[in-house]
Amino acid sequence: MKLETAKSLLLIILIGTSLILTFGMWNYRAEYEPLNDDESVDKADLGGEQKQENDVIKPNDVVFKINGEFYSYVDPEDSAELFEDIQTWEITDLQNTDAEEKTADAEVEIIFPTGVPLSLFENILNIDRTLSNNMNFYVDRFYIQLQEEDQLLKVYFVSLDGDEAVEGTIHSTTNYEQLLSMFSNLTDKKFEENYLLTETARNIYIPVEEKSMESFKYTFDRTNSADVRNIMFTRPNLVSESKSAPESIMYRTDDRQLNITGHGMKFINVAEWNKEPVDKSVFQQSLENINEHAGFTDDYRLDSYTNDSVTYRLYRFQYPVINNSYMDLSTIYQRWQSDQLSEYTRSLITLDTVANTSSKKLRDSDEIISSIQQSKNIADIQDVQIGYRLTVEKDVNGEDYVLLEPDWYQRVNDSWSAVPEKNTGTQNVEGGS
Amino acid sequence: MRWSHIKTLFILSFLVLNGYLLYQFISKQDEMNIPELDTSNMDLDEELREENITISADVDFEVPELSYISSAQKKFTGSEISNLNDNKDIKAEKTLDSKLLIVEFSSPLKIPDNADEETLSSLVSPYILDASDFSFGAWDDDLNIIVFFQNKEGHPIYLNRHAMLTFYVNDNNEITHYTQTMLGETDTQGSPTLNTPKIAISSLLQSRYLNAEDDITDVSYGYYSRIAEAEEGTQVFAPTYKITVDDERDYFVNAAESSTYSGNYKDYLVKMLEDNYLRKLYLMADEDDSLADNLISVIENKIEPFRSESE
Repeated sequence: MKLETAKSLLLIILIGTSLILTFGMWNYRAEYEPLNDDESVDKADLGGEQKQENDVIKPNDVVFKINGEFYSYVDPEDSAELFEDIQTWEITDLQNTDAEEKTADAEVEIIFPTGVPLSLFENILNIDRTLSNNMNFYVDRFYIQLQEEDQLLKVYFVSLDGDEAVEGTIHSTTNYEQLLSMFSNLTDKKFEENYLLTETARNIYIPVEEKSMESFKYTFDRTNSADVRNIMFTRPNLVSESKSAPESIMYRTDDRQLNITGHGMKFINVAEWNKEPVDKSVFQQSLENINEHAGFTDDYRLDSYTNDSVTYRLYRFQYPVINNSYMDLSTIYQRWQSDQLSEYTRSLITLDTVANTSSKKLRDSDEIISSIQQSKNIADIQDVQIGYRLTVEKDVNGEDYVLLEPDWYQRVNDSWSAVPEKNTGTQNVEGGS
Repeated sequence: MRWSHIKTLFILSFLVLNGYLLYQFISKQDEMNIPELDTSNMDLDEELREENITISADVDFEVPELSYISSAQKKFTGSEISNLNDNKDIKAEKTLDSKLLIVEFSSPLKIPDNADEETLSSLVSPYILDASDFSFGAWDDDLNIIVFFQNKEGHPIYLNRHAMLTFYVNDNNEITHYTQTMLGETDTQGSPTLNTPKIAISSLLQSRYLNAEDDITDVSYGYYSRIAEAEEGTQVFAPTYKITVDDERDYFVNAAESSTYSGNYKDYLVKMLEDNYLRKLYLMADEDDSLADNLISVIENKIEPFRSESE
């Protein structure tokens, strides 16, 4: 009988421990979780689209060159469409070549806003590999030539320093025919002639026809400051908030600072970590980072590319938008130190709907060309484009709106400014905020 | 007798079940424990042994319960200045923005030979506003400048131009001038879980600040801020370990996030004097202020050999 009581007792103990163990296993997780993400809050985002390399690297100019004459589409939407086609063309037989080899009667020159490593074109064009192991092989344009005898197209990439060149072939009669038919239609009113400037930092093509373009009044949305704070700081409860000026908020921790003034922001991070070298380029890191908080809130495109920073510029109707105020409302800029985002400035506005338009006649191209040619720093001018000046204005009801006004812009030292008025010598006043 | 058999069977099956549950429980516990800190401590000891780095400081103290704090600069008042000037041995003035206090000793204050921190503190305290809020920070031999750090919530604010007493020592080991900045009221920001001193040492090792044969001679804690350039607005201070190596190099390690900074006092002071104090003094000197003039020449002489090259 005694044995039976002992057995009952043992059974009860066993049942008890199994219950405790089961319960313990269930509860163990709950104990751990608060440690894992202490005090973190729901991540906000800026509501933009996810973008890849080929969404942000797009040409500014597509120029048709034949017998020493230059043509381009009047409407940049047509150029963009053609480039989208070209992106699907299969480029094969890549090989190193001599830059001098590149001569032809008819070629298309596709020009990007900034130089990027050649290897990036593997993600932009239909191309397996670009052959180049040279990290210093930067290109800002490529060429497609018509080869009449073989009925095929040759593609050339020439490095910015002119030392190296890579050629590829498009073995497609359809693509060849498509391009050929464009060349035979250059007198069509869809095309206009271009003037070539060669004394500038790089070859610049200026469309010669007189242009009238629309100015736009936009209503716009502005990202909430607290949302930006939650994106930029991992632990918002440690952040101190102070208002230094009426339209300026400063968020700070011991090593991070986010200043939101007007409609733009500037974030800096001076923390010093044991920084591991990263195998991604700064450009890839910035794409991932901006995509994480859905920061491409509009048609932003790569505008400048350096070893430690990238700038994306807002485009509207295929034209660059320029603001140049203290907080630049037309760009997204990021600087990286290894794997740490050390600086991030950007616009916080998203253009909404067009409230009003008006027509504006642009300055004559002759005037622009002579202004450039008279410029003292002509050798530093990297580009000349029609762009929109973005300014934030107040309407009669005191409501802010965004005004986009077309004008001629020149690019010097990677910054855009209006082409100076002829005979004045002074720079055009830039749009304030 | 059947019930007895069933019981035996139950006992056996529960034994098996418990064995299984115990195994599951332990493996789950192991899995969860990977990010826990014990393991990294073991690695640290091993790594330190490999590099022959020793820890003679006490690092087994309880992890402090400090919060992030924020504070703006205090403005000195006219009555504070006149109180100081009641002392006939010194002459005190404040800069135009009232944020920097400058004081001249009518006859330089001799520092006894081999003065330790306590002698220094008691030597200067009769001449100082809120002396009890400050404690000895460092004596930089290159510049011959002694700094005291302001204490907030009972702990020092390390190396911050807005919370510092700066004594200018001449070649005869005498203090001729001092300057003072202070922080005002503090706000508490938040209290994250802080790392142990050992983890702080481990981040220092990972940042390659420690060399072979080094000895960690002291570990203490206070507050530190990296963003200081802004004149206006509130600064945020993080709970920070100050780790002293070989009694000569100080490092600051954020106790919550493990960012690490080398405490180069000379560089910091030169930059602080150049960018901030001198600028304010020159504004005063423009108004024919002899005290400011004297101090400017003292400071210019001190930083002359170390001026940043861009100037």
